[in-house]
Amino acid sequence: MLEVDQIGFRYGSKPVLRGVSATFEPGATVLLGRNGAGKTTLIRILAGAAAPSGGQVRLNGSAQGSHSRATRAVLRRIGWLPQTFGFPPRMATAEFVAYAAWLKEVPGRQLTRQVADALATTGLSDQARNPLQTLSGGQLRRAGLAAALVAEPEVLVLDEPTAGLDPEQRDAFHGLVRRIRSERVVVIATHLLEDVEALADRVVVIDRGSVQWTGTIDDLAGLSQQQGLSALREGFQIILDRTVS
Amino acid sequence: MIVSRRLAAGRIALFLGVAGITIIQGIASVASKSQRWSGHWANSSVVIGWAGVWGACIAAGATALILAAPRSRGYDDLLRASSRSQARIHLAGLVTVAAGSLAGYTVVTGYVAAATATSATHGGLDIIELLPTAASVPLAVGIGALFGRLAPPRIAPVAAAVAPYLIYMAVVYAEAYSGQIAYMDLLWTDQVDRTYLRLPAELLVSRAVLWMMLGVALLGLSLHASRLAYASAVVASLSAAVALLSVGTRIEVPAAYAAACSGEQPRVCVDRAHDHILPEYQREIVTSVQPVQGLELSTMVVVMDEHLAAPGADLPGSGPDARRVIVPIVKRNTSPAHEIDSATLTANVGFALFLAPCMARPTAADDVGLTTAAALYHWWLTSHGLPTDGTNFPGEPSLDSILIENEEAARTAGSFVRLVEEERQEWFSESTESVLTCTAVPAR
Repeated sequence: MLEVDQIGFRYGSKPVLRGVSATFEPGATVLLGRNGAGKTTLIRILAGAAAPSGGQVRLNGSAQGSHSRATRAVLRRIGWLPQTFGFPPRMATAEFVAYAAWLKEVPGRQLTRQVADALATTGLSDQARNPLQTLSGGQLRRAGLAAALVAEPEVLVLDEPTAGLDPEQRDAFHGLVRRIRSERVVVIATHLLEDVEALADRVVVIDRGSVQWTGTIDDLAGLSQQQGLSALREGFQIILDRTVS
Repeated sequence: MIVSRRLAAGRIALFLGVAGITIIQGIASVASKSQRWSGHWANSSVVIGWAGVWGACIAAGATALILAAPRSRGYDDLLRASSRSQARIHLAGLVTVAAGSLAGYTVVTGYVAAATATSATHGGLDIIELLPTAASVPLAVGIGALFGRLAPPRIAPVAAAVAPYLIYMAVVYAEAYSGQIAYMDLLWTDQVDRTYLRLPAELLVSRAVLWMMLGVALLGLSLHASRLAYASAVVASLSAAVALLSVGTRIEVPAAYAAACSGEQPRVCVDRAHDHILPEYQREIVTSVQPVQGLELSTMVVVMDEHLAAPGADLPGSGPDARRVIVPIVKRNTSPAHEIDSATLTANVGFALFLAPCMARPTAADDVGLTTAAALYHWWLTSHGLPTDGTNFPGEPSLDSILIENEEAARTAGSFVRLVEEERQEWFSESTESVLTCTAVPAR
């Protein structure tokens, strides 16, 4: 179980997150919010790529600190797919995934197997030797997911995982995430209701740097009289309207 | 563990690149000043540090390049979210740069040692003198790491490459403006000539520790190893304090002044610091005096400087009454040099034989001895194919100007040139004493 407790974050004097608290349990939790709501910042803090100005992240009771041994032990158990990511030049797909495994301290004797498993899970085994810059947008997202999965993390955090993908690639990616979400805590930041409908077990609505609402996808739909995607859209809007008032 | 062949290939290329550029600039730096160290072990041990001025720039730039790469390529978040420490992530790259830099200095050291070993008569490479140069490697890597992590990625390599040179120049200017404190003694390389002096070992060791620990502190700061950074900074400041206690201290090497003389005629003497060029000095003197065979040189001892020319100087095999003629060893802007420039030496021989005696006594513009001396020196230079415009060595008068102003000297020079070889020899054999006392009258 991943917990965030009173997380705060500032860019200079501008507060981005204000006392965010939430609990993420096994299954997929979607962080839903408009652009600029603070989702990516929270995801980066969960992944260890940014340090909060206040509060704490705990994984099964172990807290992240700053550059400490304990923090690194927690980070070893978290996989992260950033919204966009770069890579060392001319690197092949398998090499990139192996590098990600090395960064997460996967033991050398297990590295080959885990890289092969991650590539197989994401359907990239046939692209293993191809340089990353030759991959399509969808393949590149899957390569990023393979890198996030390679250390077999207990927690997977995905930031706008379907942004920039065409509908077919998006469906394929949804299928992939559905397969892996049952085994671990998956936190997905998105502003796309299609992602919520396809992936979410639970929804956390964030706006203006604060958690505004938490519940299941059925709870969110239940806020509206509509059906399907329209119900989610209206439910989301109702929450945002409450925030304003 | 090699996770990527491309990363491994990149590191090999980085190693070869850093080592190669360090070698090229290092050898170019030391070779361009070979007259200051060739054949002399103490100076040879120091000049390797000259390669460290630009060598540090290369290592700092390369370090910044590899540490800024994740930010410029957009995968720095991947590294930040790693469970490995930042130091561990970047260790291979940092070690590659440091190893490349050290390999470069090792080759430069090999080049200098090989060049010196062929002619040196005593001594050996001084390991303590090499320590500050080695210490510049962690310093450069530390500077590069700081820029690579903090400066905008596009400018980080250039800014890091410039930084060591700016530190160097800042210390040079600090010394120039203070006028009293030898701040340059604190640098990882200095320009102090070790021909007759040496620096105290504690200064060399403490400044090596200072720069090494400063580099480690910068590395620690850059890679979030704060305890290492603080500990290194403390050691660096203690080393700076120790070094400051001995800056400006010079230890004389009395043995370097002892004379070493040849047994052949004309007798020549150099000091022990230059005895590695005694055979060549003798050979060049003999060759250059060929055109003045009539001149009686057997009572003369050619020495390289005023110290050996002093009446009290002990010249083995020569009596105290031997006439001592100073022919300095000049090459480029160095005197005394550790290499001989044949043309400059030849000009100096002519100057020593003909014009230098006139400097030892008061003369007037219409002095016959001076006029003859100028004419003889003009003849000497033209007969050796040397320029007469005062460019053979620093401080040489322009014969062209003298002959334009002094018509008598010009006439004398012309008539001396017109003499046949036998007449010239006869004139020299009759005029040895007057030539060497600046009282010769023109040949007619």
